[in-house]
This record gives sequence, structure tokens and C-alpha cells, in this order.
Amino acid sequence: MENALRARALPVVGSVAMSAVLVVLLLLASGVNPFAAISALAQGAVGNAYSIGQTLTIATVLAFTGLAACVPFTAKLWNVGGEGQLYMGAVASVLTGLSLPDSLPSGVVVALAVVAGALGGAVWAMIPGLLTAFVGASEMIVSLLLNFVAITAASFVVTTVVPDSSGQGTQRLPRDTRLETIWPEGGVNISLVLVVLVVTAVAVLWRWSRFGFAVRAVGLGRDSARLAGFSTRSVTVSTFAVGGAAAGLGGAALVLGATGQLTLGLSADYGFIGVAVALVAGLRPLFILPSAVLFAALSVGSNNLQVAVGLPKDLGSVLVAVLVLALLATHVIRLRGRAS
Amino acid sequence: MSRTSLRPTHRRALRGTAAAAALSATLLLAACGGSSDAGSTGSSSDSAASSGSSSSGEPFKVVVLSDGAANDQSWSNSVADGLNEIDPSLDVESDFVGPLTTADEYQQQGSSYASNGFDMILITNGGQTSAAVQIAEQFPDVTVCQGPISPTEDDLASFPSNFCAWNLKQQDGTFLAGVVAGLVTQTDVIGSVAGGEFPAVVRQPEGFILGARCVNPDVTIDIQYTGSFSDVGAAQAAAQTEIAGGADVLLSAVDSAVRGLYAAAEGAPRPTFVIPSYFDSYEQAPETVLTSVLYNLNGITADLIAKGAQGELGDADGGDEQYFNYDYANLNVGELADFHGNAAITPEIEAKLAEIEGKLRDGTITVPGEDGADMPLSENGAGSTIDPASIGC
Amino acid sequence: MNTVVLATLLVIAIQLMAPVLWASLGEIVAERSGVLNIGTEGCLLLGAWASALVLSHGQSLFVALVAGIGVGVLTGGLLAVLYVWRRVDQIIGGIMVNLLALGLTTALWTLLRGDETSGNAPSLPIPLLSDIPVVGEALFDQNIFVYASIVAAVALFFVLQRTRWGLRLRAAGEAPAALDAAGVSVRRLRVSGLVVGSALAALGGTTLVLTSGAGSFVFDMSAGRGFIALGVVLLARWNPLLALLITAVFGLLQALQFQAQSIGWLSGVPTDVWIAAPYVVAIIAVAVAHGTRYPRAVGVAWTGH
Repeated sequence: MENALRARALPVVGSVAMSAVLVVLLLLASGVNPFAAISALAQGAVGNAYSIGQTLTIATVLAFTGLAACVPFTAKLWNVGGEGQLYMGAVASVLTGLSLPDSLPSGVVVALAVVAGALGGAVWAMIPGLLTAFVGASEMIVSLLLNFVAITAASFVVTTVVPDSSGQGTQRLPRDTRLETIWPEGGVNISLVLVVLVVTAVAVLWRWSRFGFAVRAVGLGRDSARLAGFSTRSVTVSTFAVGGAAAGLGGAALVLGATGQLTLGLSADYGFIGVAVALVAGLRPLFILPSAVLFAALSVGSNNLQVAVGLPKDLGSVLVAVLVLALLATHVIRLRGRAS
Repeated sequence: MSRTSLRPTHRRALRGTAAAAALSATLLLAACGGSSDAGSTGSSSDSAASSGSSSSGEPFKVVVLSDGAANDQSWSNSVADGLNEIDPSLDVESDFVGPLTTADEYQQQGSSYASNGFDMILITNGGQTSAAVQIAEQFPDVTVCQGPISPTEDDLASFPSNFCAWNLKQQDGTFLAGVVAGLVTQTDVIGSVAGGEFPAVVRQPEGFILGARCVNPDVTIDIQYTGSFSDVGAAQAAAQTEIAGGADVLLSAVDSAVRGLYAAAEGAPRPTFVIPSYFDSYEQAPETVLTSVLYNLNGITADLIAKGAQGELGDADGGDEQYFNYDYANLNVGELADFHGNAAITPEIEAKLAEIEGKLRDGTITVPGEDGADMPLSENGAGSTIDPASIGC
Repeated sequence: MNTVVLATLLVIAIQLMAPVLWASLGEIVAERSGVLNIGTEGCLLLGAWASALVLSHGQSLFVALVAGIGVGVLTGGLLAVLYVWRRVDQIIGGIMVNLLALGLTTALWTLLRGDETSGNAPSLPIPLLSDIPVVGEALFDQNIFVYASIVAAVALFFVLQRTRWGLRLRAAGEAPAALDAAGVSVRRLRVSGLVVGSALAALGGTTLVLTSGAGSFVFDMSAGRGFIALGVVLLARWNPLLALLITAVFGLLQALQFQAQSIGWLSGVPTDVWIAAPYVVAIIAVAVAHGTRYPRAVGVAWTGH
């Protein structure tokens, strides 16, 4: 375990440092003091209780979408539909929360809304899963295109099914049917605990269950896995279902959190960034947590760039992309066995 | 991984640096150009900041968070222009952030500015009430204003004391645009292309057709919703369809995607005019822009900020100054931009327009709001069914 | 349905087709060479941005065209560095390139935009042919970028079928080892495939700006066209002529949305259903055409020369 940690952590730290050098050069070129910019980034990510809380909140969502990529990727199935699965989870969660009778205890409503989120994501992810397993469609294309269908469906729910007075968000869930806040200063809710549990559960499943073994066997080679008695079909469908459920939980965490509603722009590409999260974690479930924190810090911290040093905040996503591409190009991260 | 096997990785990493450098070169060039040109566009923050620093004491610091860029020549542009119109004696320092799309982005930007000593956060996106309320709760010393929204009594009661809501009466503006369209149209068909199908947008084309019917009982409208404020291709296709159906005056409610309407009008078989919203867009397409509907967003921005600087916002001292509804009477909201000598506007049309505008301003004509009349104007088809005589036409 | 409605539908369909067709042609070239370019959406956006940027500084249509192609070539070069030289995973790389393009174009359009305005590229009616009822305006009264996309589809078909480069490109995607054994550099072919492919996709952006955008950029204006192109290519089985046909059908489908009110039985369909329709159709088609397989070596980096 310690060796594995060192083998993963050292190159990542090295490459982050190298990307930092790259970014420093970039900043110097644009006439911005790099130390001011980096300290602004750090301030924005962990400068005060609320920013730490924001980083943790976004990290929760990114860990869920990271799992959504990690689980199927391990079986060499390219689920790039995390964004859509997140939206469908959010839709299912909000609709459930709004439609359950008031007579139910609020704890039960929250729990059912969370479960509905997981189911919503899982069902949506089963579309590419089933199409791939039974008709041989390209899971990559199907899951990618389904993102747009899901976002449009969410927009329909917002503007037509349960709109609030502005029509740009759904009706809000009552405060007591939102996820319980565990750290008020940071605005962090209980989904943080949930994500740690889910990630741990997947890690345990990976190591000790037949399912985990089957997934890895299929990832290593379809034919040999089949010879060893594993069904590639059931692995395909189940990895997509598990991945989709994780992304759906991410959506539930977003809408059942502080705002208690689904809005037209719900996700800042969290589903796509989840792919990077999984990759930097080397597709190892437990490493998803630190990896998600890293990307959340970058994404939240970059919001501080404009106020502190006058750089447009959209350079934040540029920063994330440059970092990942640099990590990929230097082969610090790669999918095991794929590129060799 | 053993120590020896780290070395080739290291060498690979070095070679990778070259790859990364190539990638950064592109960015570098872009960034260089960026910084040199940023000054010449004269960002409002610079000018406002310099005016603020001239006087002694701590300036009042305010940031505007919006859904478009400061130079989008539409909604956000008009808002950003307001930052240059703040009374200089108030010592205000301002910044503008856009485009922002998700609730998280609003929250994170808001908390960044609040943590950096800003006193006020003005949000000009009606869909972000939850995010705005959350920022207000998290930073009780910061004033947060958000709109355009029409809060209910219950909403107002539930808002924190450092929160304020604002709204603007858009109906009068699009109504006047409709009056012009009703008088100018040769075909008795007008059109409107709109982005999202929610009240703050729906009321625009509905007010437009109501205004047209006020002066021309025969006029009908084709309203198309594209579902996107950035897809110019869809906006163009919607406009072309309306033009093919006979429409010759089009109202835009698609924000930046109005470019698609210009594109469609340029290729129209008969003279076709576009009426953009929020920003005087004459120079964008002098041949096709008939006039623009202006809501004095710059004035609203400056007014809210001035109120904030003078400590008049929020209900901390027991007042009800938590909701500001801007209309023509209090801040010239809902006017038409100059016609720039457009030949389609004859003296008779100008006279008729002046007559209707007079009636509108003195209250003879009342354009229904979202909660007035039998049918709120933010419902599909309202503008085509309300009897013009019933509102004073 | 009267002839005016039909003619309008066709005009709009062809117009909406052109940017997606360029992107699809670019994707065909890239995938034929064995590289899956998920970054097509980003290429389209970057091309649109570059063309609009030079136009906003008062440059001519020709400069806008060169800028679009130039940015496409640069992007293709960057992708080649990542995919061919560094053997970066193509799915992840593509997703990152799309994120990069969206952030970069949004930030840099705000910073660098000039004050000059321009309109669309002028339409060039072809004498006599443009007067043909119903189809005349759609097919023979468009601008040069739209015509060029159709010509490019036909030309690319022959280039892939008949030229040495085309044949080798296909081999690089199907049987790189055989190509390598014959002493041809697989890497060099893939670099050419990426550069040409990205330039074609970027031209889609230029076309969008000059056909629908009245010469201006709007952030995220590509609106998913590059992703639709990925589905189109799969359906077209890497055949440029089929891509032409399929993108035209997609254009028609999208154009129908705006005529729904005049076609009785379509009038009750919510806008959101229309917006999702092209994606749903693409997904169904991809699923039904289950014989469709990527060229054997697509997505697999070449480790030899």
C-alpha cells in the first residue's frame, strides 16, 4: 500500500510542480505576478472557512463523477456520459423530493430523494450499457450524446414541469428536506460523508468481491475474461449502472444541498472533469478522493483570479485542461495497458 | 516502483516538457496579446478604480456578476456600462465578472469578492436567487442584490436582511417596439425569436404583439423559442422561418444570438427589420436594426450601487427597502433607441408613436404586468388575446 | 405543406448542414488515419473564434478564412503532439481539448474583440439554377462556404478512394502494422490526418460565423455541433458522401422545429423535444447500425515509427 502510494503520489507531485512552472511562465508572459496569482488561487481554494467548504462541496461532486468514469474505465468501457447521468440524478432527486407527501418525516424524504438520484443516474447510464452489451453500439458515442439529451430533459423539467416563479429553476425543497449541514461555516453538508462511504465501498468491492475481479478481468482482456467464466455483458451493464448511480448521487448532492433546487445551469462540466479525476487517481477508487480535492481546489480557487490579479475566470478551466494535458503528455498518468 | 525505474520516467518527463512547452507557446501568444489589448478596451474596473482612489478613505467596493461578457453588446454590456455612470462623489470601486453560468460559479465568485473586502455584490441574472441568498447568508456584512425577479410576499419575508431584489418592467419597452412594428410592417405579420421559455423572456414577445395590435388590429405574430441564447444557427433558422411566413419586423429576445436575426434579415426577400433588446445595437447592423429596446440597465446598475454606497439597501433598519421595481416613471425603463434616420419611420409613424408613448407615460394605457389583468403577460399567447381596448388603446 | 414552406425548410436545412458537414469531414480524415478526435467541438469553436476575431479588427473574409484554417492547423499540430508523439489517451485528451477551447475562446473573445462589424459572407446565386422552384434557393443561392462544404465532401470521397495519401491514410487506421512493414511512416500519416482534419473542423466554425453569426462570435456558439459530427461519422461509415446526406437530413430535422406551428400535427411538440431530437436520432441510428465498427486501429496509439 505504501509503495503504491509512493508510486502514484511522487510522479503526480512532480508533474504538478512541472505544470506549475509552465503556468508561472504563462503568467509572467501575460504581465501578472505569478506569486500573486498562485497565492490568489490558494486563497480562493482554502483562504477561509467558506472557500474550504466550497472546495469540499465541489470535491464531493467531482469524486462522484470521478467514480462514474473510474468504474467502467477499469473494464475498458468509455463512459463519458457522467455529465448527463449527473443531470438525470438531479432531476430524479428533485422530482422525488417535491412529490413526496409532507406527512413523511423529512429524514425519510431526504433519504428517498438521494436514492432516487442514484437510480436516476443508474437508469440513464444503463442506456449506453445495454446498447453496448446487446447491440454492440459504441458506448463512448452513445454516452457522450446522451449528455445533451439529459441536459435538455432537465431544462424541460425546470421550465415546464415544476418551475418556480422565475421559471429558471425548479421549486425549492423545504429546508428540512435538504441534506443536513455538518459544518455551517463552510456550508458543507452530509454528502461529504456519503461520498467517503461510497468510495470506500467501491474500493472494498474492487479488492474483495467477485464483481471487482470480473471488472478487472474484462479490462485486461475480453476473451480471456470470457474463458475464465465472466460475462462481459453483465460486466458492461453493471459497471455502467454503478458508474451512473455514482454520477446521479453527484447530481443529488448538488440539488439537495444548500440551494435545494435544480437550475438551468447546474453543472460546470463536473461530469467531464470527473474523467480527469479518475485518470489522475490512476483508476484506483481510494485515490479518487485526493484527486477530486485537487481539481475542486483548482476550480474553486480560480474564481479568485479576477478579483486578485485581474485574470478572466474562464482561464480556470484552461488551467485544469492544461494541467491534465501536461500530466498526460508526460505520461505521469495514463490508462494502464492502453497506450503501450 | 523502485528507484531505478524512476529514472526513465524522469527522462520521459523531460521530453514531455518540450511537448508541454509547445502547448504553452500557443497559450502564451494568446495571453500576451490579451494583456496588451485589455487596456485599450477600457475595462470599467480600471476607470472606476482610479476615480475611487482619488479621494481619501476606504472606497465602497462593488462587483457585478452577470451571465454575459462586459462587451457582449447586449444585456451584460448595458449593465457594465452602468459602472461608469456611478456618481463620482461616492468613491465607488467596481469590478465586473461574466459570463457566469452555474449557481456554483456565482457562489464562488461572490465569496471570493466578499472575502477580498468587497461591500456589495450585484447579480444581474434572474435565475440565481438561491445562490444569491446563500452568499448573503454566508457574508452578513456584504449587501447582495439580485434580479430581475418578482418575489412574492413570502419570498421577501424569507430573504436575509442584507439581501435586496430588483426587477424591471420590460412590458412597456417591448410594447413600444410593438407599436413601431405594427406601424412599419407592410405585411401585417411580425415575428419574435426568443431563447428560453420562462416568464422574464415570454413577457417580451407578448408585450411586443400587444403593442402592435394597439395600433394595427390586423397584425399577427409568429413567436419561436430556440432554447438557446448562444446558438446563432438556431436563431437564424427561426428568424428565416418567420420571414418566409411573411414577418418583416422581428423582436429579439435571444440576447447575444441576435446575430442570427441580423443574418436572416440580411438575406430576406423584402426589407426586414430587427429590433434587438438591452443595448443600442444600431452600429452592429445599420441596415437591419430599426431601433433597440432599452431598459436603462446602466441606470439601474448605477442606481442600485449608489443606494448601496449610501447604505440604503436591505431592511436592517426596519424599512421595506428590499425590493426595487424599476419602470419608466422612476428610472426611464422601457424606451426605444434612436431610429438613426431610418427611412421606414415616416413623420406619421413618429407622430403616432409619440401619441401612444404619451398615453403610456400618463397612464391612459396600462400594459399588464405578470400578475395584473385577467391573463398575465408572461403566459404564452397573452399578447395575442388581450383586448387592446381593455388596456386603454 | 405548400412550396414556400418546403423551400424554406430546405434552405435552412442546407445552412444548418454546412458547419456539421465540415466537422464531420474533419472527423472522417482523423478517424481514417486511426485517431479518434473527440476534440472536434473544440476545433469548431476555435475556428469560429479566430475568424470572428480578425473580422472584428476589420480584416477581409479571406483573412477570416485563413485565420480559421490557421487555427485549425495549429490545433491539429497540438493534437498530433498529444496523440501521435506523446500517445495520450484520445478520449481523455479530446475532452480536455474541448474544455480548453471553451475557456480560452470565452476569455480571449472578451479580451481581444475589436470594434469593427461585418455581416455574413455574401450569397452567390448561380444563374438559372437558383430560379428552380423549391430546391433552387436551397442548393444554388448559398454563400461560398456552404458550397465549398458540399464540394469538399465530394472531393474528399475521391481523395480517400483514389489518391495515394488517401489509401495510406485508410491503411493507417485499418492496418498500421502492414503500412509500417511497407516502410511508410504511420506517425507521419496520422499527423497529416490530424492537421487536415482539425483544419476542416475549424472551417466549420468559420462557416458558422459567416453563414449564421453575421460575422461575430458568441461564446459556446458551436452548441454541440462537433459532438453531432461524431455520431454522423459513425453512421456514415467514414464515407464523406454519406456524411453529406446524413448531415442534410439532420439539418432538415432541425429546420422542421420552426415550421411545427404551420404543420398541424407537430404544433404541440415542446421546444425541448426538438432540441434533443438530433441527439436522440443519432443515438438510435448508432444503436441500430450495429454492424458499425470503428476502423480497427482507431483510438490505439502507434508505438512504432
